[in-house]
Amino acid sequence: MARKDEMETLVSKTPPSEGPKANKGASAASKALITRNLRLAFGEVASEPVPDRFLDILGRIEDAEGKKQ
Amino acid sequence: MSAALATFKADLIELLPSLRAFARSLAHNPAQADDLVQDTLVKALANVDRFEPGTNLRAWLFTILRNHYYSQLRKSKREVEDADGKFAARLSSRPEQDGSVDLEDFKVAFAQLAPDHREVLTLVGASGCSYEEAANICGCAVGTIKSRVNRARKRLADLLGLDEEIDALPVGGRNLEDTANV
Repeated sequence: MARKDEMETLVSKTPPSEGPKANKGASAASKALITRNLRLAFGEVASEPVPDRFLDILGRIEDAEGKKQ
Repeated sequence: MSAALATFKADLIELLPSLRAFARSLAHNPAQADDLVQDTLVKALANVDRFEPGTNLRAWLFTILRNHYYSQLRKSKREVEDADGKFAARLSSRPEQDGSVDLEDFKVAFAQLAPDHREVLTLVGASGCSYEEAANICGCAVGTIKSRVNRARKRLADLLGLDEEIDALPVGGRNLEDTANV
């Protein structure tokens, strides 16, 4: 398709540093900022102490194993 | 307890903090998130003989958790009500001059994203999953994950008011060659 070839030529003619980024997604600075905040928010929860009830559930592994034997 | 089972348990305990954080990013509400984790642990233990030792336990657990989350979502539709409530929330401040944003504002904006966007951003952006691992967890193609991450970032940047000076550029400021062919 000629139309597609034309578009590909146009795309390849535009140096990556000059192409308008607005419709391509978040800017590199925004991506970095988003990643930093995602890690902060994730790290906040991940650093909370793990509730005992979860460890209690894991304690059942031994119980289940004991019953099988 | 067998050595394999002891390893499984130790690895599981090590993964609990990130499992909770993943749950929190999906559920918003801490109590609902921990219920998700609890159900995930119960399911994991019930299916422990289906886990192949040496394979990716994190992906296995995250998959159980997300599948459970989505099946609950389909049942309850509670998420729709949650989302409506969240949309009333407003950011308390604009981005700073240096482009940084308040973490609480970030969380408010993040909470407004669709579940599939929160999910990929958490997997790829926060918990350090590879695209392949995220694709495995979400049961879709790697390309789907990549484009979803891009859309999610764009949406989040819009919600946070980032990149606005770029959007506000007059059309004349663009390369004419790019617009002539449209």
